[in-house]
Amino acid sequence: MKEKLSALMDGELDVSEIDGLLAEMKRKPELSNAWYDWHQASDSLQEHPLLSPQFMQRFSARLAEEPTVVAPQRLKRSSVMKKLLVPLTAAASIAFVGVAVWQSNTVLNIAPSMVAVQSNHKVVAKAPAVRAYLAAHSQESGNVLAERDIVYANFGTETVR
Amino acid sequence: MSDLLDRLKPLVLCISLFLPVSAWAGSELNNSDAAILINRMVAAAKQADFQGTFMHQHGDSTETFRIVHVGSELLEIERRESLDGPRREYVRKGDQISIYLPSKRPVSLDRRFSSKLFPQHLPETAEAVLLNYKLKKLGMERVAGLNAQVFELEPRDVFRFPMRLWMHTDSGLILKSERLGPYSQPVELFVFSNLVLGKFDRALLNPVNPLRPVVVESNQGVASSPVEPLWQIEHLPRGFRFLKSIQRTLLGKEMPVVQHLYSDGLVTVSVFLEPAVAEVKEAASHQSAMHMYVRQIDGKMVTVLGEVPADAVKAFAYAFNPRK
Repeated sequence: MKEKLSALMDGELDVSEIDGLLAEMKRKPELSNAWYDWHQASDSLQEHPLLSPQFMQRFSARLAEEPTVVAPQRLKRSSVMKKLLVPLTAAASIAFVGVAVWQSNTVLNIAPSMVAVQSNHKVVAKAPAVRAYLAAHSQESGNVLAERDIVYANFGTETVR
Repeated sequence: MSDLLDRLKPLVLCISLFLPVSAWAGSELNNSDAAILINRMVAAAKQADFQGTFMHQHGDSTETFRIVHVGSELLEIERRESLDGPRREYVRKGDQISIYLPSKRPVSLDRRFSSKLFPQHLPETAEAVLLNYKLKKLGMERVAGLNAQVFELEPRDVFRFPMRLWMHTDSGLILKSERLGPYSQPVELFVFSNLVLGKFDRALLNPVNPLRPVVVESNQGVASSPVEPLWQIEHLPRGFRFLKSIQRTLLGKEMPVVQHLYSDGLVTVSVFLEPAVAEVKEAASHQSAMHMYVRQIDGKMVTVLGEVPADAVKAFAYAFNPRK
């Protein structure tokens, strides 16, 4: 078993055997102790700074108390920067959200805030209808070679009168 | 210190985005000088021999195309080919156009389209442009290693957006063109990344994809309003000409809709006419420069769409009223 542990440490253990070995380590404390000892030995050989004794116990205890974070919080910027960045991020979001943000149910005031658009779920539901108009418009006025317009153009059929 | 610089970076970027706009006050040209310049740009795009690569940026998409063009008094030949994304190719010999597209959808083009592709996207007559736009001279800039004079087509009314043109000072060819939207933000850009003027190997004109010929409609538009049996059409925004009317079936709709197309030479507006849809109220919306206006009147619905200001789509929507 110790040969396998040694192989794992060198990164030479076969993938199919890793799970079995890890399970074994959990059951037999002497195996996991050997794992830590060997690492400590290799660290001191390579002159890595040694961690304080009991580090593993204290680290495990703190890790257990940590709440589970599904999506880590974003780094905060200063509020002044945030205000300045709003127009830029709004422009980028408009580009990304693309066709989905079309059509609002009220008469427009120019430059709608993205927050309002995103919270309006009706908007997204109506997007295919708007896209069909856009497709028809692009087919007639757009650049036939533009890739985006080709995609739009496949939305509708036509008969010339 | 470096942290402070990092924080200031977006601010500097913001400022530099707006800087060129404020720095270019520009001088307005009189109509005859403007006409000479526009005719020079149009003539250069038709008569020059050139090959190059240009980038087209529209909304969130960016694509690169190769263009080879042979101009002469008798027969103009050009070949365009997409360099990224799906393979597309376009070859024009005089008025004959062949095209290769990934989809098998039938394509019909009109002369408006074939004469509209970069760097040739100005209408053939300068008067048509100058009726709705003023030409302003801005500064000098370098594009693709060549010297260019920058011009702006400034709208004469509130119904359209400005456009900027970078003209090669030696040949008159348009090297870069930029369509502006609300708050003078760029919405569409064509720019050469490299351009070689003069004679080149004719073999470059041979197509590389199996092309199919395309029917080309000749349509310059009419100044008068079109006639619709169910609709009274009056007071359309100034400077827009009616191009054509199409009956379509849109995805997700049972009844066919009627689509009218209007153009001022630089921009096209679509008007869709159909019976009212229950859940739709009067509404306006926009995405970048593309504006839309939906209006319901007496059980009928008008939808207007185009890269024109909000005022223009609204004016179009109110020009259509059901006949009593």
